[in-house]
Amino acid sequence: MHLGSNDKYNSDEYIITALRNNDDRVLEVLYKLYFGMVVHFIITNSGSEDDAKDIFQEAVIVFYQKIKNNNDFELNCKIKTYLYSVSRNLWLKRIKKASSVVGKITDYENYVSINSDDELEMQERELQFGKMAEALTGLGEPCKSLIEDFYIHQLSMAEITDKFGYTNSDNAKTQKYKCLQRLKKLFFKQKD
Amino acid sequence: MKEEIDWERIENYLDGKLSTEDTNLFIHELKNKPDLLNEVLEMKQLKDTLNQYGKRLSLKNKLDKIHSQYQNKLNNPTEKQNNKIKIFWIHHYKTMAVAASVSILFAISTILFLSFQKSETRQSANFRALRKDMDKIKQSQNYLINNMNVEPKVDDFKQPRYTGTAFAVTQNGYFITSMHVIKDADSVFIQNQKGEIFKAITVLRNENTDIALLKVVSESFEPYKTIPYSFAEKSGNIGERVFTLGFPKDDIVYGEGSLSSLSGFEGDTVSYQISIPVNPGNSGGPLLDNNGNIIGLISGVQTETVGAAFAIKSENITAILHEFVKDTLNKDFKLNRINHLSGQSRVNQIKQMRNYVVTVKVFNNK
Repeated sequence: MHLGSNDKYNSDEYIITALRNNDDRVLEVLYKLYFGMVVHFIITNSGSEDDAKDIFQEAVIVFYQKIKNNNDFELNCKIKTYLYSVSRNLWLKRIKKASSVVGKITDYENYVSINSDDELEMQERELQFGKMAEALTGLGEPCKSLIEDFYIHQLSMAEITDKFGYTNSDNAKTQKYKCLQRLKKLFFKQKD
Repeated sequence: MKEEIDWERIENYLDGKLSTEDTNLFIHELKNKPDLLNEVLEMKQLKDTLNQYGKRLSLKNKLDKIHSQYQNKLNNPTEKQNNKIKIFWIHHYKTMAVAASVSILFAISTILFLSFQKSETRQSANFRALRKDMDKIKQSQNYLINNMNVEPKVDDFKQPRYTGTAFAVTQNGYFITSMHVIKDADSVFIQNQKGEIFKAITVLRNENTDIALLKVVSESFEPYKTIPYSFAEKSGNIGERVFTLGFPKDDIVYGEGSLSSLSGFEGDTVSYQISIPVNPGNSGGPLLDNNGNIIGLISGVQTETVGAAFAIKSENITAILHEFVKDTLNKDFKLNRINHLSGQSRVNQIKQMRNYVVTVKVFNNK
C-alpha cells in the first residue's frame, strides 16, 4: 500500500472506517496530509515546530477518541477542517495561558466551532490522565512497574512473577493488590 | 467491624469473570453493603482510567514514531544535495581557481593602469568616486525581497520574515526562486493562487547565479497536469517585449516592459537589465517573452537608476538545472520542454500561468 498517493486511502470515509477497524496505519496518512497545514498555522502565529508537533498530536488524539468512543459520531465537516479547528482552539488556549494579550490570529483555512461538550469531555479526560500519571509516580518502585506491566502492557501474572522474582504467582497477586490499593488511595486522594 | 475486602473477587466481578451464580451472589451482597459498593465503584473508575491511560500512552508513542519518520524524510534529501554540491566543487575547483586568479590579475592591472594616469587627476577622482559609489550601490541594490519584519509589535504574531515569488518547473512540485529569498530560512512554505500552503525544502542553491530550487514536501500537494511554459534555449534580444508575474503584494501582479541590456548590475553577464517596474516580493518571478518562453528569473533592482531591474538569463538557469539533473539523486526531476503559450493573447497566457506562480514564505525565528 502506498500511503498518501492514492485517493482511496486519503478519503475521509476511508480514514474513519480504518480507525474504527483499529487500522492505525491511517494515522500516518493524517500526518502526511495535515501536519504541514498545522505547522504553518502555528509558525505564522508565533509558535515553533515543536509547538506544532504537540498541538497537532493533541488534535489527532481528540479526533481519534471521537471516532473510537462513538460509533455513531458523524463529522459535520471535513477531517481537514476538524483538525485545523481543534488545533486552532488548542493553540489559542495555550497562548492565552502564556500571555493575557492575544493579538490577531492569521488563518489560512476555514474553521468550525468545536462543540463545547467535546472540549469539556476532553479536559476532564486530560485531568484524569494527569492524576493517574501523578499517582503512578507517587507509587514508587516496584509498584509502578508492576501496575504498568499488568494493566497497561498487559503482561500475564506468570510473566510478572518471573520478571519481579516472586516465588509464586500468588505472592505476585497479593503484591499486585497491595499496589493497586495504594494507587487507588493516591488517585482518589488528589481529588481536584 | 470492618471485614477484609476480597479484591480479587471485586476485580473478577468487574472483568465479568465470575460465574453467573457468583455474580448474583455478589450483587446481592452489594445491595446490603454500601461500603463494599463504594469500593467496587472506585475500583471500576480506577481500572477504566488506567486502561484508557494506557491506550493513550500507546497512541502517543505511535504518533511520536510517525513524527520522527516524517522528520527524517524531510531532512534526508537536503543532506544528499549538500554532498552533491561538495562533489561539484571537487570536480571544478581547478577551473574556479583559474577563474579567480584571472579576475584578481585583472583587478590589479586595472588599479596599476589607473594609478599611472596621475596627470589626469579628474579621471582618478572619478575612479575613486566610482568605487565608493559601488559600495553604496552594493548596499542599495535592494534585493527584491519583501522585508516583512517592520516594527514588530508585542501583540503582533509572527509573519513570514521574507516573501518572494517562485514558479513551477516540473509537474511534481519543483519550484525555482531566487537564492537570496530563501537564504536565511528556517522553514519555507509556498502558497498558490487558491491560498493553499505547502511546506517546501531547498534542494539546490547556487550562489553565483542566485537561484534556488525548492521541492514541495507536503503530501497534500497535487501535481500539475502540465506545465504550460518552457525555458527558452537562447537568451532574449535587446528591445524584446517581456513580462513577469509576481507577488509584491498578497495578490498576483503583472508587470511588463522590455529587455534593455544583455548585461546586468555592474556589467554582470549572468543577468539582463530589464525595464519592468518591479517591487520587493518580485524576486524569483519568471521573466517571459511574447511567446511565453521563460527567458529569465527576476532577481533585483538598482536603486540608483530609475527603472533598471535585473533578471538571471534562462541559459544560466537551465545550465544549473541540467547540472542538477546529472548530480541529483532526485530522479523525479523532469524539466518541461514544450511551450503551450505561444501565439496566445497576453490575457490568456496569464490565465494559464497564474496557477504556476506562487508566493514563497520564508520563516526565520532567530
